[in-house]
Amino acid sequence: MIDKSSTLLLSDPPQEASREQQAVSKLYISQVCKNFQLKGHKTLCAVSSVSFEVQQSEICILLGPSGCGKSTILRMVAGLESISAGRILLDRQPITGPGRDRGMVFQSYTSFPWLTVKQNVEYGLRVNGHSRAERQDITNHFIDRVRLTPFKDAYPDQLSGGMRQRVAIARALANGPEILLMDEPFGALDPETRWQMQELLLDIVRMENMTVLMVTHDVDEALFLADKILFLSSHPGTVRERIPAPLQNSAKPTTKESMYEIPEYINLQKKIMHLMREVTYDPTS
Amino acid sequence: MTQLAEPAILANFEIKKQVPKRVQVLLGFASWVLFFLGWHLLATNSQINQQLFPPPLKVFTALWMLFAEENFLADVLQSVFRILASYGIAIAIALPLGLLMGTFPMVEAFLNPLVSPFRYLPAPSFIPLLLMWLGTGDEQKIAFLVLGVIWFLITLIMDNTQAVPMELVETAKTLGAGKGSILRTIIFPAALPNIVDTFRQMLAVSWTYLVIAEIVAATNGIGAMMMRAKRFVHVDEIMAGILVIGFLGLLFDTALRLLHWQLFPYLHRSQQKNLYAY
Repeated sequence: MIDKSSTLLLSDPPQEASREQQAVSKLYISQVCKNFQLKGHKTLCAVSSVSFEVQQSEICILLGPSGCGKSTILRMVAGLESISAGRILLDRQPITGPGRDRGMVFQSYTSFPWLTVKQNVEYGLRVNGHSRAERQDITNHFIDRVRLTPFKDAYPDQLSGGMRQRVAIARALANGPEILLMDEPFGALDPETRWQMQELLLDIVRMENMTVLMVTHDVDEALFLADKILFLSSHPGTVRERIPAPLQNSAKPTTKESMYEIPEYINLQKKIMHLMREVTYDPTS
Repeated sequence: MTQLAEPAILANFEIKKQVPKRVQVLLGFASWVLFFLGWHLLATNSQINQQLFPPPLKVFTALWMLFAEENFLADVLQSVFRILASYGIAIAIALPLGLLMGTFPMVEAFLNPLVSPFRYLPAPSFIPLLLMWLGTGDEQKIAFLVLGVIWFLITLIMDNTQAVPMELVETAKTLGAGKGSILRTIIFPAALPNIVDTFRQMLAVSWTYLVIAEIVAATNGIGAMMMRAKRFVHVDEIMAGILVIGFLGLLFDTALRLLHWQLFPYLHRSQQKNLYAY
């Protein structure tokens, strides 16, 4: 797998075109592979030759069935997982490890339980040596953005799941990242809370002009949030389809109800569900 | 088919059903009353030699006399000093080692094969060596008490550290924290509640070893008093010593429990969870 992809990289004709792409893209991912070492010298190819770009202020969603390697791709961008082959560039700089230019929100609740909401949001600024006054301003701004100001002195155990994920979002954004990486951030929430969180996220991302790369397997969530959907298929994970959203950026619907009044969204939903059925093994058929 | 009525008394035994606080206290108290009552009845039975098995009242009298006339308080304080000094030394060594081993698999791979087997070497078997090396004073006693707990402390603190969720560490990494910062500001505070629990549990082991430490070549301390009493067949004084050790153990345990509540209130609020809606 590694050999094949590296030769691809050298001989691929669209290499010149992609260099241009590379110059304008916020995040540039080219021919990325991930192999996991298994027992007995076997390797598992989790991600095979994945290429895509994310533009400034774009919300890009990785959608696909379980085992399609979408989380692995996100973790490689975060620098939490090494890259077996290919290149990942953020602002034309190759990624070498985790860094504060890429904020991450996990599915599990990762608020530090011994710190208050305020101290959690402040954490990144503190370890990066920002002054007290600066920390205060930025922290208050983002706590306000996620509407947690009345709870800024509460501890995470006193908050609901949705509120904890808002702390995680504020904490990631307060650190001033270039891109926000989200790994099924609302996967553990109640459906009604998930709704509210999606609308809140859309609002914040637009106000902060943030670029987002998000993983989900919730079709509805992908439709509502995305400017661009990358549909992945599994074994090994590859990009099956690149789907631009019917409406982009500020033209996107801001509530769930209004989205389903637009026929293009309903058609796209059907299309994605067909894709999902195609790539998923169905034991009943 | 008709359901047979359950006897009234059995209705109180529901599987995993919470018991009211008042009933809990009452039941706990009742078990102690029954214990002392049983002891008293057994000891005052004519078949029993009261000198070898004195009733509780005699033991409490002996305890009073020990404090009032034999300066037992000095022995108790001496024992407490040995426990605190040895435990302090053990923690000072075990805490950094355990944290490093739990954080860096490289350190674990190097030290665990060495530390782990030491847990299975019985600490009392080192007493003859310690007597030769350190004499019969406090140094020997404290060294023995350190040896008794330190291997367990190191491996348990390592386990506590390894149990810190990886997501917390990864979150800190993506927020730009370096290795030192992560160890100091994430791994240590995240592992600390369990480490304090480990301290509490291993302190009980320390109290167990204290008696052994003070039975061998000791002139003061609770254990030494018990050995003196044995020479004169003062069984009531021996039992009084046991009671004091049990009481002190419970006192230290309770103190560490309270400390846990004080330091980590966020772990003791489960009833109030989701205090705020949505």
